[in-house]
Amino acid sequence: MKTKNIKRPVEINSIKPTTNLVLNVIFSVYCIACIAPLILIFMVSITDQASLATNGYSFFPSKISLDAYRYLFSDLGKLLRTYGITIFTCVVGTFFCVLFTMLYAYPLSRKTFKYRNFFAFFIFFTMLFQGGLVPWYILYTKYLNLQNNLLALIMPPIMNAFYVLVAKTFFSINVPDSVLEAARIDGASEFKIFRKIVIPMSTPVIATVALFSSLAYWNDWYLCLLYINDPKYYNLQYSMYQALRSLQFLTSSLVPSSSAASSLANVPGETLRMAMAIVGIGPIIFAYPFFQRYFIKGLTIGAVKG
Amino acid sequence: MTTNANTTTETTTDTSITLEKKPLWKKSAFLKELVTNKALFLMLLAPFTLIFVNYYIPMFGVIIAFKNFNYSDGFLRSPWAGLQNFRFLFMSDAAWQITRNTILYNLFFIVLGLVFALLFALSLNELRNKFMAKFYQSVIFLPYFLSWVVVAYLVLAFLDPNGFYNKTVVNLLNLESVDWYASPKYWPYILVLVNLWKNIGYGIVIYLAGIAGIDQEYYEAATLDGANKFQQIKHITIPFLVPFMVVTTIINLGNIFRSDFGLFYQIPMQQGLLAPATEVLDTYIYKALITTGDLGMSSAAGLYQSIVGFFTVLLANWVVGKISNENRMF
Amino acid sequence: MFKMKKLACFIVSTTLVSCLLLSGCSKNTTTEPNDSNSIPNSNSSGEDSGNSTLEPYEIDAYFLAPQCKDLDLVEAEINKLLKEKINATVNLNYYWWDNYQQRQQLDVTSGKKIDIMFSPSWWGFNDYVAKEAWLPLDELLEENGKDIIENIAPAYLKAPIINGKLYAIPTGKDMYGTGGFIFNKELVDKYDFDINSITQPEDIEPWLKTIKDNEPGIIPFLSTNGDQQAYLVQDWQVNVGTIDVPVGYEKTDGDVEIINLLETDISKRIYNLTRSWYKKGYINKDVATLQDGTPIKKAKKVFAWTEQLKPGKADELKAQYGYDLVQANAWKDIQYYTTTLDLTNSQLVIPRTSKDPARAMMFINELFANKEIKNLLSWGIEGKHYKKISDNQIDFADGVNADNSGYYGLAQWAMGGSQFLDYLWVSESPDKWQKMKEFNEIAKPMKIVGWTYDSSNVKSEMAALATVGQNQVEPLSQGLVDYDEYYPNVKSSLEKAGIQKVIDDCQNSVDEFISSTK
Repeated sequence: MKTKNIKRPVEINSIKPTTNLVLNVIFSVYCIACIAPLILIFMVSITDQASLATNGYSFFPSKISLDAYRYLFSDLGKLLRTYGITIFTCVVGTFFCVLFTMLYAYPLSRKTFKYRNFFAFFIFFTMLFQGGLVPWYILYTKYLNLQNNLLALIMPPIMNAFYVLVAKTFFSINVPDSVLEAARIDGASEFKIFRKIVIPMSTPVIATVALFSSLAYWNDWYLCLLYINDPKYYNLQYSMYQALRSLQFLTSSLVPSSSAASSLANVPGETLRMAMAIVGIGPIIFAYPFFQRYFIKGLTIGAVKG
Repeated sequence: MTTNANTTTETTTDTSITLEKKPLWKKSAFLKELVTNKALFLMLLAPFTLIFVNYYIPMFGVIIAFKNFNYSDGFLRSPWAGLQNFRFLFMSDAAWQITRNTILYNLFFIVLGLVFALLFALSLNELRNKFMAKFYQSVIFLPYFLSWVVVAYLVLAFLDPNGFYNKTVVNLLNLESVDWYASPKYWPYILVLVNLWKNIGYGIVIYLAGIAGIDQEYYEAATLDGANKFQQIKHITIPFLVPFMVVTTIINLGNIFRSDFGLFYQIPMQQGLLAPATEVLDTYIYKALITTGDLGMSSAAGLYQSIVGFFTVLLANWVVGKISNENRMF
Repeated sequence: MFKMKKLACFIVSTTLVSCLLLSGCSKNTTTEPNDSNSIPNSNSSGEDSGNSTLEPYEIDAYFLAPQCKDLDLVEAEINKLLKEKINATVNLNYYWWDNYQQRQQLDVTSGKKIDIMFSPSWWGFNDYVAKEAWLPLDELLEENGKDIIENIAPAYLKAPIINGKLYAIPTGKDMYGTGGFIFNKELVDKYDFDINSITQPEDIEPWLKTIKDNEPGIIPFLSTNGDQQAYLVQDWQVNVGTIDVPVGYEKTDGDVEIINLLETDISKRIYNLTRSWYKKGYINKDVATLQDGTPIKKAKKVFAWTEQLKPGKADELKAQYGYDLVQANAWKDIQYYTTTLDLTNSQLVIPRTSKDPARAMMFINELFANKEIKNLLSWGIEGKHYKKISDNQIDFADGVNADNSGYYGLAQWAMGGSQFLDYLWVSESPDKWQKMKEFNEIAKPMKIVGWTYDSSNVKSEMAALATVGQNQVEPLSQGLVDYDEYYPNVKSSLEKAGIQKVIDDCQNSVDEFISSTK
């Protein structure tokens, strides 16, 4: 009896079972549309290149061949190294990105802070106007001397106006002034309030920024293209991109005459690209479920109502 | 306490008015704010420096858009070229088409993206089986991980003359085969659909996070008051999500003249015939400058996109301000 | 709002000021090395030939080459020899296809010290010269490039001349290419096609029909996104800019006239031919979306396709695709010409940021005279990366193959110097260089070798035309549309983009060149 009573409010507030069923069906169908392509990609990656040219893509390859993966893993040491670099930049970068984003967004959300609009505009402006690739490149290589330095992979994406503004919005709505006032009255310093109250209340937005940020770091190949020369420091996406583009150019008509590249005879084409997609996704697929649990209803201190 | 805060603000405003007569800096007011909120300033310090270094210092490069750059004179001494570098943007007889494409696609992406992300997020949140909800969320996010090149191949496998549609679907449903890559009229639908499919997961995350931050007690109170699901969503959830909708919309409007290059360049497989429907400003710029790589012209193009985006944002912000002042961006 | 504006102004102005200051710094370092012609006094090597008077110098060289594990080792070997000869060491930097162009622009713009760089005409060479990024080399060549002058065909040294000055040292190799076909030898033998009977592209049509009728799984003619158009007209006409801009001239002994290349007889002829082949089903249906023909060629599902030919091309491709191929020129009994573009498609330049251009020239000189250094650069270390199987031919060293070699996969033609010094790979024919020399003799250099088009007056038009080329001309070369129906549209787009202005400007440039060289 008693247990039933406690359960009821939650149950009353749930949607009807029929609606639930309908939604589940819709989502299931949509999910098929999301998973099927990935399965196809995997299938293509293990298809024999020659049969691919004649039979096209298929969920059931006529001939299986692990050539693409063999090619990718041929230099296992190098591959693992690029994984390592990527994971490193990902973790370090995400940490600082989240930290700095929260630090910047919080003051923006405080209505008593006079300059909040200025600072908000300051970062938002960067989203609209950019100086262009060349001056930025000159800054990094000439003045900051970050050529071949992992910092060049970490620094650029750290401050992102989009994340800051989303965080700011979240703080404005979900961290009520009254709670903060109460804490201030109790004599807590701003930093302490930030650390002990705001952050625990903000796990959803922290998880969001962390997720977006780690994806950005994981997928990056462009920063690597610009700043890293030493293969020791290549990250995963770039090293794969490089292998593929080299192939592309050599077979394109841009080149007046091709070299006696018998190495090309053994390299798979499209299957390689698909294999790269699979290898490139690898670990990051688990990032989403990892951060997901923070999207649960956040902790709120019941004291708000008081 | 609240009254105290108000008085503080009032006094500051007063001082600032009297200071108008004093030279330049509203020095006292600034310092006062600095002292009162020194912790906040401290928080801002490191990120601010990073922003300044990363974004503002390189901004000077924008003067290249107005110059005829040569290596011996460098950035500063190269001769001025006025608006010459902007000319190529308007010299195509498709200039109107390109602009129209860019804007329309973006508007569709913004509206549809918002509506669907919201719907999905709300639905996911309401599912009874939380495990399934999480599973769906993760799967919906998967397409985001794929690069446009890979997606282009998938689309190709579907739409190719020898692809899935023309070989299988046509036979199953007794339809006529379609030469997709030679018919521009289908592509707005194709591109919008593909873009939604790939990016919807990203939008959903934001709204889920927003929903997660809403205090449960609101819903409990509403239930006790007898409100049904729809009413709860309408009166509690949505209002809490409105600020997020505003933020994302305004940011997207700031990019109204920019496009996801991969989407428009890769998916149509660079087919010239499809250009009337698929060419946007970014692809046009790329094709025009790919071989010359003229710094002045590429900078001019970027500046053009930025300026339009800037005014669009100002307009949007003003409109939002009119409707509800607290949701303004700045 | 009011206050915010003031603060915003303040911030913006501080930013601008600090940037100006910073860029002032960058300005200094960029202009520190010489202005145009003056050679810095660090080298007095012009008079003294012995290395005892040369100060040690590190040459920063940038090549189009893949990342190689053993690059450091190879560099060390080269430096041993280089030190003896010119008391210099070279620091090799390799960028490969995926980012060479991008990196080149960034490196040059950021003003870093570069002594030697690969800068071919098809990758913005003219543009860099117009923007004064590369040094003129006339005097340097005379003083420090004696071996170059001796070992390179004279036409080569006329080609990279812009506004009267020489700006690059081309690579000595094949001086032109001919448009032609590559056939699957097995099928050629099976149906007894006589390759030598081809005098024009239309001649192979009956063969395509035979294949189509009798070999159901084989594509008679593979067109990768319309590439055959460029190959089949290249013996007749030349683009003055990039391939997307249809402005150029016809190859001729007489006066050069700049025209819209889409309207020449030969262009129309090939467009119509492609269209008819497409309609008859000889061309692969996915011509529009096919970006990479390699897989299907490798799978032996193709009978014929077009390529740019030179002696030994079919052999090179055989190594790539794994089965026998034969080649045949598309046009017989026509006069072949060498044009500027042919002669400048692989060359090295010395940028203005070099601190010792004379030394850089000496290094390039070595690439024309010193077989050891040249082969180290092209193939790696003997014994470690390759072994000799005859006097001039090499193969992988024992235990080494394409996957594990620490120095492999380079484009030898992009490494500068004289390719005739290079060893030959085992799969090539031993007399390849001899044949190439003969091949080179056949073509006549055109009257206007030495003229390159500086399009800086019309760069906006060129950009706009490039887009039209990519969007609207493509379907023509893919055979998807009828020329007569479709071309008028293209023409109006070209006109809107300013093609006449470009043609006029270009013709002026040509006329000036001709009259100045008389």
